[in-house]
Amino acid sequence: MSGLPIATDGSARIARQTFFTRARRSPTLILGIIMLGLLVVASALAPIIATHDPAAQSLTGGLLPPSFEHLLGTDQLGRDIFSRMLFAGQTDLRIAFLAALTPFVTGIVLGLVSGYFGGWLDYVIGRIVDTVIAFPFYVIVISIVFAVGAGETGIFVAFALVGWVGYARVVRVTTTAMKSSAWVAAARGGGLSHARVILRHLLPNVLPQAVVLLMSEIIAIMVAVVTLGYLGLGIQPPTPDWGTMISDGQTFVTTKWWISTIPGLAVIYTGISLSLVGDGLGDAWRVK
Amino acid sequence: MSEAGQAIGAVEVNGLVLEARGPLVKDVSFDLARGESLGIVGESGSGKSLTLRAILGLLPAGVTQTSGSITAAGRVSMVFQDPLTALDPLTPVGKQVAEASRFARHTGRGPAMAHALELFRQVRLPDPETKLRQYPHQLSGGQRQRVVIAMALATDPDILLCDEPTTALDVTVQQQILTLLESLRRDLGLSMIFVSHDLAVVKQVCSRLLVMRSGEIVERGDIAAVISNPQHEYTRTLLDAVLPLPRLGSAGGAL
Amino acid sequence: MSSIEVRDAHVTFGATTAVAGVSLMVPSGGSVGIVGESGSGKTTLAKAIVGQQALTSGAILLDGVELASRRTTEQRRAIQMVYQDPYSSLNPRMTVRQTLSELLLAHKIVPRGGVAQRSAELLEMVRLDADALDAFPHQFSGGQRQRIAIARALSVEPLVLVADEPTSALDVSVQATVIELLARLKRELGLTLVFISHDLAVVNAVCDTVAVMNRGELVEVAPTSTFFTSPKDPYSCALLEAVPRLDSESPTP
Repeated sequence: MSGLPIATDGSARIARQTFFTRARRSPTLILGIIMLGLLVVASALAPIIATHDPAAQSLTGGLLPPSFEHLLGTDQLGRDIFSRMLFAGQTDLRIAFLAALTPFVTGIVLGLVSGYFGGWLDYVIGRIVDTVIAFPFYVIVISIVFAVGAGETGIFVAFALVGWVGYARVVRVTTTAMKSSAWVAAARGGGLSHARVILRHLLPNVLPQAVVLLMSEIIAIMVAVVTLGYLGLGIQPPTPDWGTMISDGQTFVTTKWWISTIPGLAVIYTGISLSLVGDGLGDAWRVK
Repeated sequence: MSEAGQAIGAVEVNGLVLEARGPLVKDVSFDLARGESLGIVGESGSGKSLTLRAILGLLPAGVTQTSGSITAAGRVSMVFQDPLTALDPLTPVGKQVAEASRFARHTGRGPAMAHALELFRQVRLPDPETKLRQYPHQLSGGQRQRVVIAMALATDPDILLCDEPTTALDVTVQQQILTLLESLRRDLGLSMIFVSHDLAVVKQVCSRLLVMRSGEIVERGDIAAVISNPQHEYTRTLLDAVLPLPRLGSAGGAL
Repeated sequence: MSSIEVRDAHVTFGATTAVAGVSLMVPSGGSVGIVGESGSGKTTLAKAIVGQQALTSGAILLDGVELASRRTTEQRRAIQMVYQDPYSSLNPRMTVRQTLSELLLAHKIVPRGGVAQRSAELLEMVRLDADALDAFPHQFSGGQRQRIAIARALSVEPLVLVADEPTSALDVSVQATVIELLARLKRELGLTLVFISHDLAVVNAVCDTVAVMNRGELVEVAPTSTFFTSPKDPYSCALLEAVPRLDSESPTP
């Protein structure tokens, strides 16, 4: 059953095209979801899968290479790296996804509103966007975290204040372009309110691009969390986090390379899976 | 490129097959005599524009000629449908036409610009000297199409291909452009192939007609004969779809 | 059924005048074809009638009641538009069913339980099968999309239908079906029709009155039956004379 009507009179069968039928056609999306799924499941099941207590130190068992007992070896304090990796995954994924949500929502709202209504509102939001973009990303983030205090709260606040800008720009441009199209005019002409048009018509058309951007923003946040951790401004010990794991291991990078490298690989793996999901969603959501 | 025995300005298409992911033009054959004007009508997807492009040798990406032969005796030039996209918006129109002329005649810039001026006069552009330095957006739709025609003439063609050259124009402007094309054809002795979806337009400028549908020629012949006595049912459908317009001065009678 | 009147409408954009003092009366159930070339102002006038374009001065009256620049929901429902480009006039992410049911429910035209049936009825009016309801716009041809757009316009039960070159983007053979559909709907539903076109033959087929615009001004208004055979204004004559006809002389080879 093809997706195209055959007769010129609309009397042919028309296939139902849902998100899932289109999603199934994108190998990128499937691969990305599998990879991400494995990661999420492994982190969620950390308490069950972990072989040791991630905080348990052993002064004599430090810097051990990977073995049957310690699958990925131990760090300088004798803590099992495998278990720490899993719990750190929990921490980092949780924070990255949560920290990404607020800017996602505010960015979309501001983008829709400035694109749709235009005028002074658009102007004001546009100037704020320009100001935020003018500063290097890490300069702002580090300053905010410094001011608010290291740790989770600082990270959430920093990204909530800064992260929305990318979404706002993308959404605004798409909204402005769509606003002048006939189907939006028809929706308003049909007597639908501004709120309805924005929420029910513009938002679904704007969301795909925003979600694709969300994927890369999550990666960026994760890298930032890891970087902050590396700088000592991120997640504070004893909570395990890939960033602190990398920085902890940097003195041993020539001899016990696995201590820094393995968390680094985890970050890369997460980045790739999120990127595949982002691309795949773009494919699945593309309307012909 | 002229073959022995073929008069300059003649075109011969034999068994042309064009394919992309599927067949687009299937086994199309026709001749164009020197100085003749042939019309090709069809709807979207009929393959009429692709056939023209094959004659010009400018098939779009992904489309290949898998079979058949095309011989065109003499220089071939094309007038495109949309003057907005056929002209470079960032270059003055005089320079664009002069470039075409330089390429064809291998002359310097001076003679090329003089030729452009002469062509602007030939296509009856008002105030041609000023127009040479103007940009496409400064001209009206009809004037832009005249520039496109001038550009096509700049290469001293023997064969002029027209791909829906008046579709994007207002009806009064269309009338002027059609008159211009017809007089140019006569004065310069050009052979012309005119593609359109509009039978009535083709009737103004062509003496012979091909009707295409889904990549095939379904009917051909003298244009007046085909219109008054269509043989193929698709031709009849096309003719029936032409809405009647009462004649000026008649008592409200439909066509 | 409603009468629509344009009273001395002016629309200017800065220094450019798109519509210059147009006055036009379309009686209830009538159909006027507004013809003109590019720059005539006919599309701007259509948008003003529908409420998408504000008038710089003048008024649009529905059944004698002047429409304010901010129309009420009932007023917006009463005048509906069918747009020129079938490829951008439907929300690409909504199925036909969603598009129709949203309007039906927003205006409470039928109770929730009756939406599916009414949607199917609307499609039937435009000669499309009910299984088109669950498809997306890109799955349809241009002519079919235009019919869906007409169904959408009809869903809010308008009194006046404004069609802006609804067949210009369609193939010739498809044009005839859409035109015939509009003519039939006008008869059956008693709609008042404002039909914008550059194509005089189309206007002849659908409308009982012709209004010719040139550079923002209304130069002639006449019944279709007399306009095409004896136009009064020289511009109207030029327009009619410029239309290529099938029975004209072709050039000698």
